[in-house]
Amino acid sequence: MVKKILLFVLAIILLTFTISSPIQADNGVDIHLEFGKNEVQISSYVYASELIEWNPDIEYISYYDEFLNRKIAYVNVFGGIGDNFLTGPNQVYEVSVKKNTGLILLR
Amino acid sequence: MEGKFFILCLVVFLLSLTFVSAAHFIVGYVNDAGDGASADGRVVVLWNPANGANDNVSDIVGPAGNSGANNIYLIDCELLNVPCQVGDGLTIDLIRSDNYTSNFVNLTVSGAGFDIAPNMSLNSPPTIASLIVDDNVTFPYGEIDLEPFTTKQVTCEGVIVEYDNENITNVSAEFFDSLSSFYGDLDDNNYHYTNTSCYMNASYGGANETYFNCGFDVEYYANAGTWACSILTYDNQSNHGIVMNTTTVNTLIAISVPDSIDYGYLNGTMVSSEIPFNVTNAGNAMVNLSLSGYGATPGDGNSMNCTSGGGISVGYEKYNLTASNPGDLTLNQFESFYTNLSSNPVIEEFNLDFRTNDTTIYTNEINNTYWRIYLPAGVGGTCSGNIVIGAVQS
Repeated sequence: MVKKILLFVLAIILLTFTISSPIQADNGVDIHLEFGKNEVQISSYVYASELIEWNPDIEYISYYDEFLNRKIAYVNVFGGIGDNFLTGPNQVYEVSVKKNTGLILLR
Repeated sequence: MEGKFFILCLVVFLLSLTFVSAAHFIVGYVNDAGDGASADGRVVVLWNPANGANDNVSDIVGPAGNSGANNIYLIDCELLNVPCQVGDGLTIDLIRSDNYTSNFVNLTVSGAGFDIAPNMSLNSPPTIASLIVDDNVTFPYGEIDLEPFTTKQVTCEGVIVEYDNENITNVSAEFFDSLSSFYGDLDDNNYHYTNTSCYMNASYGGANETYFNCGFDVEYYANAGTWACSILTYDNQSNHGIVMNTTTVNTLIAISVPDSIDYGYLNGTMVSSEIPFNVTNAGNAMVNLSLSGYGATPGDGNSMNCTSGGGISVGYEKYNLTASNPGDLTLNQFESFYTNLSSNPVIEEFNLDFRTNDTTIYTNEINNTYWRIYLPAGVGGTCSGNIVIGAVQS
């Protein structure tokens, strides 16, 4: 009985984990972003300002910096404001877009 | 074993949720003040009125803040204790610093990734461009010449410049002895005056200029020395400007005495009764007295000239500035208790204080002197003479 419950819980966790997993993005690979907020892993080293330049539909890119203990964001307004950070692997970013679009990482 | 595996899975799951957290950014632009002061470095604060101002998030405008850009702020409203949601109304205000402030703005959270708040403008305090303090005697400039037993109109006038074109709502002024008093002190005619509703004329000069005139009825016993006029003005954003200028209140040495002393009818070789003769300080300095007398012309050696027998020698009229000696006196007593009047002015210590009681006149500033005269033999008829009483600063 305990084993069944354990398996059921594990299945639920794995299902949730799968649903909430960030989209993986690498150089040259276009990633589809839904209108609103998306969680994205970006393996490439790209400045936030470049991402916004290449993807004008991005409203902002942000992530939580555990070292600084604060959210870092770059917002696509007034020509780009905020921290123009460099993306990299092993970090999940929140990317908000105005409409469904593909994420271009290289141009 | 199964339990440990379950815990491990749970930890992995929870870690996966901490990678990111949602955000909704509020972006806004703050214009520099009309006087050129920069909005950068000032703090804006955001809150949801529905949850109270204590739950707020702030940012510094400009490069030192989240935006990294001049005049712009960037706030994540999901960092509120009660994170913002679509449809929430938010208020953003600039915290007053250096007497600069701004109008607050409101916005409603949309479903987009960020919202742009209405522009704010840094509001500078009104600037008092000029301040002149003087009385109606404009020469020499910047000196107040009081007048005995009356008030003197002192005006503090100038021009206010409101660089943001806000309306000037009030001008008030305080005029005070900078040695004995201070701005905000209670009024006292000796050292502090207040005018809470100065005259204003917004039609004066340019569009952003306002003329003001603050008048004070300064009493004759106001302290001599350096006085300050401080002007405080508010615009309709409750920003205030304050400025001060100084002037000199000159020393006023003045006394007031009755018109005459009437010794009454005297027989020859008789000492008159004592006549009190009060002296009142009508200025703003402690004084001693200068005393002399003459009959008809200064230096004639008499105190009075009479219609019969010539005159009464000046030394036969005497005074006591400190004590009364009532009753009939012999000539010897008269000589002993009183001081001879003389043809040449003699300065006597009197130390008559100036007025310090605002509500009741004739308190510390008045004092009596006591006079008698001796009528020598052979002199008669109607006698009259002159006593010259002057005041010198003690």
